[in-house]
Amino acid sequence: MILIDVEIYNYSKKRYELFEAIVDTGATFCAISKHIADEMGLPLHGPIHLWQVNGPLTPTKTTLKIRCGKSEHHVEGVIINIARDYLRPAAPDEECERPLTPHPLSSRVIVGKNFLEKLSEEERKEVLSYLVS
Amino acid sequence: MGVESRRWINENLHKLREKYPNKTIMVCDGRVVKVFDGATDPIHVNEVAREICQGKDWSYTFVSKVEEEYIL
Repeated sequence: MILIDVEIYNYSKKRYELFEAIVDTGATFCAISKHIADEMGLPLHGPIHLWQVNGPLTPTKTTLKIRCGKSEHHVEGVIINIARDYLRPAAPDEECERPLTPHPLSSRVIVGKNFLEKLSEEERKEVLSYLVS
Repeated sequence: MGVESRRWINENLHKLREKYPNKTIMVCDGRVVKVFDGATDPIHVNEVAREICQGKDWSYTFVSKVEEEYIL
Protein backbone atom coordinates (compact mmCIF):
# COMPACT_ATOMS: atom_id res chain seq x y z
CA MET A 1 0.00 0.00 0.00
CA ILE A 2 1.32 3.46 -0.88
CA LEU A 3 0.53 6.15 1.69
CA ILE A 4 1.26 9.82 1.00
CA ASP A 5 0.30 13.16 2.54
CA VAL A 6 -2.04 15.55 0.75
CA GLU A 7 -3.82 18.70 1.89
CA ILE A 8 -7.53 19.04 1.13
CA TYR A 9 -9.51 22.28 1.37
CA ASN A 10 -12.01 22.44 4.22
CA TYR A 11 -14.89 24.64 2.97
CA SER A 12 -16.37 24.92 6.47
CA LYS A 13 -13.21 26.20 8.16
CA LYS A 14 -11.80 27.83 5.02
CA ARG A 15 -8.39 26.21 5.43
CA TYR A 16 -6.49 23.14 4.27
CA GLU A 17 -6.34 19.94 6.33
CA LEU A 18 -3.59 17.33 6.09
CA PHE A 19 -4.75 13.82 5.16
CA GLU A 20 -3.06 10.47 4.96
CA ALA A 21 -3.96 9.25 1.47
CA ILE A 22 -3.97 5.77 -0.04
CA VAL A 23 -2.70 5.87 -3.61
CA ASP A 24 -5.00 3.68 -5.72
CA THR A 25 -4.07 3.53 -9.39
CA GLY A 26 -7.11 1.33 -10.07
CA ALA A 27 -9.59 3.91 -8.77
CA THR A 28 -10.96 6.30 -11.37
CA PHE A 29 -11.71 9.02 -8.83
CA CYS A 30 -10.57 10.16 -5.42
CA ALA A 31 -12.76 9.06 -2.50
CA ILE A 32 -13.59 10.49 0.90
CA SER A 33 -16.01 9.24 3.53
CA LYS A 34 -19.32 11.02 4.10
CA HIS A 35 -18.73 11.83 7.76
CA ILE A 36 -15.55 13.73 6.84
CA ALA A 37 -17.09 15.32 3.72
CA ASP A 38 -20.00 16.62 5.82
CA GLU A 39 -17.62 18.04 8.41
CA MET A 40 -15.66 19.84 5.68
CA GLY A 41 -18.71 21.18 3.84
CA LEU A 42 -17.64 19.69 0.51
CA PRO A 43 -19.78 20.69 -2.50
CA LEU A 44 -22.26 18.03 -3.71
CA HIS A 45 -22.63 17.46 -7.46
CA GLY A 46 -25.22 14.69 -7.67
CA PRO A 47 -24.88 10.92 -8.04
CA ILE A 48 -22.54 8.94 -10.24
CA HIS A 49 -22.76 5.22 -11.06
CA LEU A 50 -19.51 3.30 -10.64
CA TRP A 51 -18.74 -0.41 -10.97
CA GLN A 52 -17.60 -2.14 -7.83
CA VAL A 53 -16.72 -5.81 -7.50
CA ASN A 54 -20.23 -7.08 -6.99
CA GLY A 55 -22.36 -4.43 -8.63
CA PRO A 56 -22.85 -0.71 -9.13
CA LEU A 57 -22.12 1.82 -6.41
CA THR A 58 -23.86 5.19 -6.55
CA PRO A 59 -21.91 7.74 -4.50
CA THR A 60 -22.26 11.52 -4.66
CA LYS A 61 -19.74 13.45 -6.72
CA THR A 62 -17.75 16.34 -5.28
CA THR A 63 -14.79 18.52 -6.19
CA LEU A 64 -11.70 18.25 -4.01
CA LYS A 65 -9.14 21.03 -3.89
CA ILE A 66 -5.97 19.06 -3.24
CA ARG A 67 -2.51 20.44 -2.52
CA CYS A 68 0.42 18.08 -2.96
CA GLY A 69 3.90 19.54 -2.67
CA LYS A 70 3.92 22.94 -4.35
CA SER A 71 1.00 22.32 -6.70
CA GLU A 72 -2.77 22.60 -6.19
CA HIS A 73 -5.35 20.67 -8.21
CA HIS A 74 -9.13 20.62 -8.52
CA VAL A 75 -10.01 16.94 -8.71
CA GLU A 76 -13.31 15.07 -9.00
CA GLY A 77 -14.03 12.92 -6.00
CA VAL A 78 -16.77 10.68 -4.69
CA ILE A 79 -18.31 10.66 -1.23
CA ILE A 80 -18.69 7.21 0.31
CA ASN A 81 -21.23 6.62 3.06
CA ILE A 82 -19.75 4.10 5.50
CA ALA A 83 -21.89 2.42 8.15
CA ARG A 84 -20.96 3.90 11.54
CA ASP A 85 -19.97 0.49 12.97
CA TYR A 86 -17.34 0.01 10.28
CA LEU A 87 -15.50 3.14 11.41
CA ARG A 88 -14.26 1.33 14.51
CA PRO A 89 -12.17 -1.87 14.80
CA ALA A 90 -14.09 -5.11 15.30
CA ALA A 91 -14.14 -6.16 18.96
CA PRO A 92 -12.43 -9.52 19.72
CA ASP A 93 -15.71 -11.05 20.94
CA GLU A 94 -17.78 -9.64 18.11
CA GLU A 95 -19.49 -12.05 15.74
CA CYS A 96 -18.26 -10.39 12.61
CA GLU A 97 -16.21 -11.64 9.68
CA ARG A 98 -14.95 -8.27 8.59
CA PRO A 99 -11.21 -7.51 8.84
CA LEU A 100 -10.05 -6.54 12.31
CA THR A 101 -8.70 -3.22 11.08
CA PRO A 102 -11.13 -0.31 10.72
CA HIS A 103 -12.42 0.81 7.32
CA PRO A 104 -9.52 2.50 5.45
CA LEU A 105 -11.60 5.63 4.82
CA SER A 106 -12.31 6.14 8.52
CA SER A 107 -9.09 8.13 8.85
CA ARG A 108 -7.76 8.39 5.30
CA VAL A 109 -8.76 9.39 1.80
CA ILE A 110 -8.10 7.61 -1.48
CA VAL A 111 -6.33 9.44 -4.28
CA GLY A 112 -7.15 7.81 -7.59
CA LYS A 113 -5.99 7.86 -11.17
CA ASN A 114 -7.55 11.26 -11.87
CA PHE A 115 -5.33 12.82 -9.18
CA LEU A 116 -2.16 11.09 -10.39
CA GLU A 117 -2.85 12.37 -13.92
CA LYS A 118 -2.77 15.95 -12.63
CA LEU A 119 0.76 15.55 -11.25
CA SER A 120 3.89 16.28 -13.22
CA GLU A 121 5.85 13.25 -14.39
CA GLU A 122 8.46 13.96 -11.73
CA GLU A 123 5.84 14.18 -8.96
CA ARG A 124 4.12 11.00 -10.16
CA LYS A 125 7.43 9.09 -10.16
CA GLU A 126 8.12 10.30 -6.63
CA VAL A 127 4.71 9.15 -5.38
CA LEU A 128 4.99 5.73 -7.01
CA SER A 129 8.55 5.28 -5.74
CA TYR A 130 7.11 4.83 -2.23
CA LEU A 131 5.98 1.37 -3.37
CA VAL A 132 9.51 0.12 -3.85
CA SER A 133 11.30 2.01 -1.06
CA MET B 1 3.28 19.45 4.54
CA GLY B 2 4.72 16.33 6.11
CA VAL B 3 7.27 15.20 3.56
CA GLU B 4 10.02 14.45 6.09
CA SER B 5 7.58 13.11 8.69
CA ARG B 6 5.95 10.81 6.11
CA ARG B 7 9.36 9.50 5.14
CA TRP B 8 10.16 8.89 8.82
CA ILE B 9 6.89 6.98 9.27
CA ASN B 10 7.56 4.81 6.23
CA GLU B 11 11.10 4.03 7.40
CA ASN B 12 10.01 3.17 10.96
CA LEU B 13 6.69 1.47 10.35
CA HIS B 14 7.83 -1.97 11.51
CA LYS B 15 9.04 -0.61 14.86
CA LEU B 16 5.95 1.58 15.21
CA ARG B 17 3.71 -1.44 14.68
CA GLU B 18 5.24 -3.10 17.76
CA LYS B 19 5.04 0.00 19.94
CA TYR B 20 1.73 1.55 18.84
CA PRO B 21 -0.58 -1.26 17.63
CA ASN B 22 -3.99 -0.01 16.52
CA LYS B 23 -3.18 3.60 17.44
CA THR B 24 -3.11 6.75 15.36
CA ILE B 25 0.22 8.51 15.85
CA MET B 26 1.21 12.08 15.08
CA VAL B 27 4.83 12.58 14.06
CA CYS B 28 6.78 15.83 14.17
CA ASP B 29 10.54 16.47 14.11
CA GLY B 30 11.32 12.77 13.71
CA ARG B 31 9.45 11.58 16.80
CA VAL B 32 5.97 10.60 17.92
CA VAL B 33 4.38 13.60 19.65
CA LYS B 34 0.81 12.39 20.15
CA VAL B 35 -1.00 9.05 20.27
CA PHE B 36 -4.74 8.48 19.75
CA ASP B 37 -6.68 5.28 20.29
CA GLY B 38 -7.79 3.57 17.08
CA ALA B 39 -8.45 5.27 13.76
CA THR B 40 -9.07 8.95 14.49
CA ASP B 41 -11.03 11.63 12.64
CA PRO B 42 -8.39 13.46 10.55
CA ILE B 43 -10.01 16.84 11.19
CA HIS B 44 -9.49 16.33 14.92
CA VAL B 45 -5.90 15.25 14.28
CA ASN B 46 -5.33 18.49 12.33
CA GLU B 47 -6.76 20.56 15.19
CA VAL B 48 -4.35 18.96 17.66
CA ALA B 49 -1.44 19.36 15.22
CA ARG B 50 -2.14 23.09 14.92
CA GLU B 51 -1.53 23.34 18.65
CA ILE B 52 1.54 21.18 19.09
CA CYS B 53 3.30 21.21 15.69
CA GLN B 54 2.82 24.87 14.78
CA GLY B 55 4.46 25.56 11.42
CA LYS B 56 6.57 22.41 11.54
CA ASP B 57 6.66 19.44 9.18
CA TRP B 58 4.25 16.85 10.61
CA SER B 59 2.23 13.83 9.57
CA TYR B 60 -0.04 11.16 11.00
CA THR B 61 -0.80 7.54 10.37
CA PHE B 62 -3.02 4.79 11.66
CA VAL B 63 -0.70 1.98 12.75
CA SER B 64 -2.54 -1.26 12.25
CA LYS B 65 -1.46 -4.10 14.56
CA VAL B 66 -1.10 -6.33 11.52
CA GLU B 67 -0.39 -5.23 8.01
CA GLU B 68 -3.61 -4.18 6.29
CA GLU B 69 -4.14 -6.77 3.57
CA TYR B 70 -7.90 -6.95 3.19
CA ILE B 71 -8.32 -3.91 0.99
CA LEU B 72 -9.63 -4.48 -2.51
